[in-house]
Amino acid sequence: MAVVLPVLLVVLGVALATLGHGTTVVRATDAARAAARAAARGDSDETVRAVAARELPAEAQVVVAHSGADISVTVVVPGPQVLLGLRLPQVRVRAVSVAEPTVGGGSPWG
Amino acid sequence: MSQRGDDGSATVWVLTAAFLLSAVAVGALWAGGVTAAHSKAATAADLAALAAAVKLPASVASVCTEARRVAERNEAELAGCRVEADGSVVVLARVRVPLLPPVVVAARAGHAPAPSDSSTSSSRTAPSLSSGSLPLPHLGDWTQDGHPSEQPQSAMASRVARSQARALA
Repeated sequence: MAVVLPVLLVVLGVALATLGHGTTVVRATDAARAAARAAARGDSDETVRAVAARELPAEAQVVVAHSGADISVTVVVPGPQVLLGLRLPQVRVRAVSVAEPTVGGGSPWG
Repeated sequence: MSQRGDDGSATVWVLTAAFLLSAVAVGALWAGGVTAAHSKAATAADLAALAAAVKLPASVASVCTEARRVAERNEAELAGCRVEADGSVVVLARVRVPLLPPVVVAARAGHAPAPSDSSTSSSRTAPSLSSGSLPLPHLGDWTQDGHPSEQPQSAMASRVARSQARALA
């Protein structure tokens, strides 16, 4: 008993942490996608970061990088805390979109 | 005597609990993996379809090459790509899941069909996009596909129409 109960608790902790991790991955992916689509529309990097941050916890980081017409949005969310300061690995998700051509040269959203 | 009998029953309870918890842990891993893969495939399909629709009207080969490139940059494979008769592109993105069938998600992008037969209005509608389904138990369906609610089709279409009118003036 003395050995088994802690093991059971660890298994339970891992199961709950895995669920939390999965939720974080999905939220980060959705945020990266929304941000990448905003970037493809021609929104500024500032707006793109705001779009991603809206759906993410405050400690998440959003990096927007341009390479030719490609725009990559990388979202890094620190892993959830399991026990006593022990954290799961961070979630890092990237979405890449392609800038849509603008009408009449300038930004179509003016 | 009765104390000896109790010793055995505790072991049975612990084993049962261990089995149930392990099942929950495996289930959580499985659901998490499939959900994450679905989300990733949906992202790749969305962005690949939008990028491919930008290339329209062009040859199917160049449209689908662009779809493949964007899908692969989003860490998915291109499982299918075709240009529909109405001028929209349908892209299928596939993400592999260990020990399970791959997750395939479809997305369509292109010019929205005109609300009437008027051909002038079709040039002033925003590209539309809709997403497909998961050929597995619907674990991923609590996530939202397609347009985020804060970017409704009608609002985007009117913004595009206004900016195009301005650009053409």
